[in-house]
Amino acid sequence: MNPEIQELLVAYRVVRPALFPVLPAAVLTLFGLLALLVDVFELGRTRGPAEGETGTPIMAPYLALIGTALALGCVGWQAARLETAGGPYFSGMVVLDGFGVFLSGVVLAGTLLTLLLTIGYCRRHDIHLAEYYHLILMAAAGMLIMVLAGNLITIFVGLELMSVGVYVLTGFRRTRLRSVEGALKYFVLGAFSTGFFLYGMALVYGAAGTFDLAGIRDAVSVPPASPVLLAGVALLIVGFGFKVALVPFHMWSPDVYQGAPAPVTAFMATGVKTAGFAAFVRVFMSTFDGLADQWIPVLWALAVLTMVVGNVAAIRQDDIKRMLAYSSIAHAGYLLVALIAHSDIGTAAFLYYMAAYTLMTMGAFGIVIVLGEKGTENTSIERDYAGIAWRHPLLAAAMALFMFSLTGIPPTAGFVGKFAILSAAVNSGHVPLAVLLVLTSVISAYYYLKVVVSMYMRASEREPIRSQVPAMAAIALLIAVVGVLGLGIFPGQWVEMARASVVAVTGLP
Amino acid sequence: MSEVGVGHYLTLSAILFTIGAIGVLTRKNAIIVFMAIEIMLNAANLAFVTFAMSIGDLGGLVMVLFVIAVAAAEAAVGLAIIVAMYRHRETVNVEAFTAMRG
Repeated sequence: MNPEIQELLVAYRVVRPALFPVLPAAVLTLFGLLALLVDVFELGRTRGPAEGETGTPIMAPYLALIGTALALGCVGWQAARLETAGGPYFSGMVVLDGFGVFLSGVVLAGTLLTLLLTIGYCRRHDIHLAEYYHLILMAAAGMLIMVLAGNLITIFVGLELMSVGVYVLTGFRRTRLRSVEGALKYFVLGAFSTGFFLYGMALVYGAAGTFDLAGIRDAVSVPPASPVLLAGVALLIVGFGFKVALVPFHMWSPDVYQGAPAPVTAFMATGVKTAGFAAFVRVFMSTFDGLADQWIPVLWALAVLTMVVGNVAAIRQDDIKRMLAYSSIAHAGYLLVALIAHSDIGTAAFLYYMAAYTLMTMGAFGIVIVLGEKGTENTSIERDYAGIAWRHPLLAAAMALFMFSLTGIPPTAGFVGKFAILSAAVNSGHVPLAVLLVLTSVISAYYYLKVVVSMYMRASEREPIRSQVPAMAAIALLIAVVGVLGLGIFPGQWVEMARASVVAVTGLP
Repeated sequence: MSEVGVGHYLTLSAILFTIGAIGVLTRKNAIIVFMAIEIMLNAANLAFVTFAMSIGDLGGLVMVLFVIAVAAAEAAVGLAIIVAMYRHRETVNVEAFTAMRG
């Protein structure tokens, strides 16, 4: 054999084991680039300059689906080999552990459902551009990097890869004013929060002398904490707070969720939130563990504000995307309670809730997407959802299930998730927070059930929605329904999995 | 005349960061808002370099390279969004974009 090729093979054998943790992200990147490349060679098809022009369906959606499914398989492989292969890689830049692998699975499941729902949506609105799928895959790759990051630099790079992709996706329907307005607001506030995040990183770096999460933990574990370090932690809270939409850093989220194309909103509500929270929890649970006495009161106040404002503001909404935006703010508050519990049970509850939240939110947005028509997304709860149950009984039943799950009514995944968070909070002595969580959940029943009431008990006053459910969207909805019920009726195995994932945190105990 | 030291650089970086943050919150022209964000990012860059030099660690300098690359990508996307805005309303004043409220 050619000696040069032999040298390459030897080099590959050396490098190969190191690539294992980033394999899913690499697969996504590869297929993302492939989607763009294939688009160039699809000759003879009309490529509309914007949406609305009749274009030809393209290959990219299927490439994206295959890529995501392969990446999901790689995550399964990582989970199976976790005991032998877990640990820090790339000198600690990336950490392969149970926490990361579990959330990688959640992110990719969200991406897969987004893609399944997107394909029918793009056909209906005549968006035949490969860039759309490319951006979804690249953003998902950024999320995976964030989820597995063991270093502030990796978190930052993953965060930006995700955010820049989602800014563009938000404004993707650029002939629509609302889409562009949403993109503008998301971009300005997202970049603003990046500034806070970076400055916080700089201060923490100055105090600890390293970007490595484990290194920072060792450096900050010796009290007293310097003011520079505390200022840095505060700025990091602001940065993360913007990304996961905690009150008072949430003002962008209702407008952006309402303006973005519905599948992108679903992707934002699940993937972006999962990745943001993953890095948030990892940094605060492991790295700033020694400063828990300082950050718990701050997050406590944020959690109270987030749960109250999110739930109260959702009551007034008629636009279902906007209502789900406030609902996702409220759920960020619940997830924050799991972090404040500051225990292994809390982290396990966080993992379980993240999976449940992804499934039920994705399901709810799936129904919103399916009920849209060409030219309009039909998002008014009062007008468009009235009487849906008589024309689309299955869709209405599924929507009711997702609404019950979001409220936290048994036997759904949302109930088990809230129960897990409550028991973690009570276990750590945060009884007032647990009480507030229950009270705000009662408030949330009002606006979730309002959708159900509108679907089942109101007569429709508009012409019927002509909606055909595309096969792929039907599969996605079926997955969401089965998931929400499965996680709710047989939670044991999943709760066990979440617990095991916390124990398997090998890189950062 | 005392020598320029770490404290001076950090003070300058804090001032720049504050100027940027106030700019984002008060200015109405999307391009000026965008410039203010760039000032914030560069304030962070100055802090990274200062800390890297005072600690004697290369990590901060590497970070600055990442920030510059990311800022360039953000600039491309941000300006594209501003162009898309202008096509709708023939203005880049952010107050003209309030179709969604509540």
